[in-house]
Amino acid sequence: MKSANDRADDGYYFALPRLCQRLHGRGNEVSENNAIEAYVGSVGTFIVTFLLAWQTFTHNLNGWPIIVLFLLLILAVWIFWLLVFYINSLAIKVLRRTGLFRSASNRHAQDLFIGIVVAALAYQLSILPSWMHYVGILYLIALGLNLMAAILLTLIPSPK
Amino acid sequence: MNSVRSWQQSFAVRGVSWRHGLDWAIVNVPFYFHPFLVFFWTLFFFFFARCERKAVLSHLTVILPGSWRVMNYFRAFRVFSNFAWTLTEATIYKLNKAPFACELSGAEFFNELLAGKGAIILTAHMGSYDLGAALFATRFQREIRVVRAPELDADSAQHVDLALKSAGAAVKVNYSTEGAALSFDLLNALRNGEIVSIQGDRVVGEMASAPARLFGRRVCLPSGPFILALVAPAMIYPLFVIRLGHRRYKIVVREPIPCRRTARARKDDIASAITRWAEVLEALVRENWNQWYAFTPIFRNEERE
Repeated sequence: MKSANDRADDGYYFALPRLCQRLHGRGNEVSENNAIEAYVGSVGTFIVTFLLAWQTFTHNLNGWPIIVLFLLLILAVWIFWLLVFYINSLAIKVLRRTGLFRSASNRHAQDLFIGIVVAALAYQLSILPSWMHYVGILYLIALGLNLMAAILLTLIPSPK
Repeated sequence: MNSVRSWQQSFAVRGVSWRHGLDWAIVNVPFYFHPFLVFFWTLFFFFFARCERKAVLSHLTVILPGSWRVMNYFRAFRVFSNFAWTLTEATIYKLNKAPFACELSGAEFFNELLAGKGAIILTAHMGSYDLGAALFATRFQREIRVVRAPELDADSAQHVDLALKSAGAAVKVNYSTEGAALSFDLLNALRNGEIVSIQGDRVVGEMASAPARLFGRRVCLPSGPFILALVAPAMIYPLFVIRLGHRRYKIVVREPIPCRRTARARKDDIASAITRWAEVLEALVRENWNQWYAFTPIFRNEERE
């Protein structure tokens, strides 16, 4: 038996799957309950940040220092994002005073700032002379498609 | 000097700082970063909450006999990770009022519980009991009185208290340290048709307890709920809120345990009800060992009988 709230996991958050849903004639409710989106967002962002940090800091290193650095970089990526979230929250607070982001919640307002930071990191990764640049390119493509989908969602009328 | 010490204590495992940090993160961090943050905070607590880690490891050796110690470290990490997720999702429900998917197992017993006047829900430190109480009160429009052990840290206790009260007036909180006054309060509540929820898997402080057997080991389980059921009289419904996945829960209700006065001695009536509860608890913990958040040693007597 399922409760009355068993539709809680319907819908998506990112614009691209919501556009696909709308093109299939279904509704495009914004939902934060999709586990796949949560894990893809987390793992994808971690990989891009970690690979860029790895490429930047592991030049001319061999042997055990590289293992130590591997562990330190994992922690550094975590701390880096905590700082990003904190700085973003301060920026949102300042922008709210100027009248921007008045209606958006803090976590939704962060989307814009996170998008900019992740796009910058992915771009840096994509121009590196290594196989890792494919990861950066892939991430940039995903971000670009999601942005395009967000624009299209505002243009395509919602099914009644 | 004292203020410096209390500031330092706020950063301890039982301190209030991480609770404030979690509240901040739920308000400020988009959901698609939650797995990333939960993983790292789990790692952090897994290393620093030494006593809790040891307790979980010792329980795992009893629940899963013959299991490898190395593998039990990974299993203990899963317990910590599930605990982090239940805390995170309870905070999401509290602050963002996000919808949660919820299944029900044991609907016939659950309907019986809702229809009845005055009942005891006996639960365990399993899944999300705080979220369960809030969901229960809001979804099924029934008042619920939750009895729980207070947090050791005063600031943390205040924070948890406020969090539970934010679930609405339908959730009333009582602390197990309130003594004799609590017994009379709960008795009145049951006789007025209220539902009382008590955690029955751990004895804290001077709490009344009775011996029982769990996984072939001797344990002490709280006897208060059974004495209350006998005196009121009220039926005991074993109920657990199990986390199935990302924002998905299952309410598991098992067959009610009667605790009635018979021709036998009173302690025998209570003992037989506690034995049935121990059987239900053992079955649920065996199935959901990764969600049993018993962070203090339960199996005090390590001798196998």
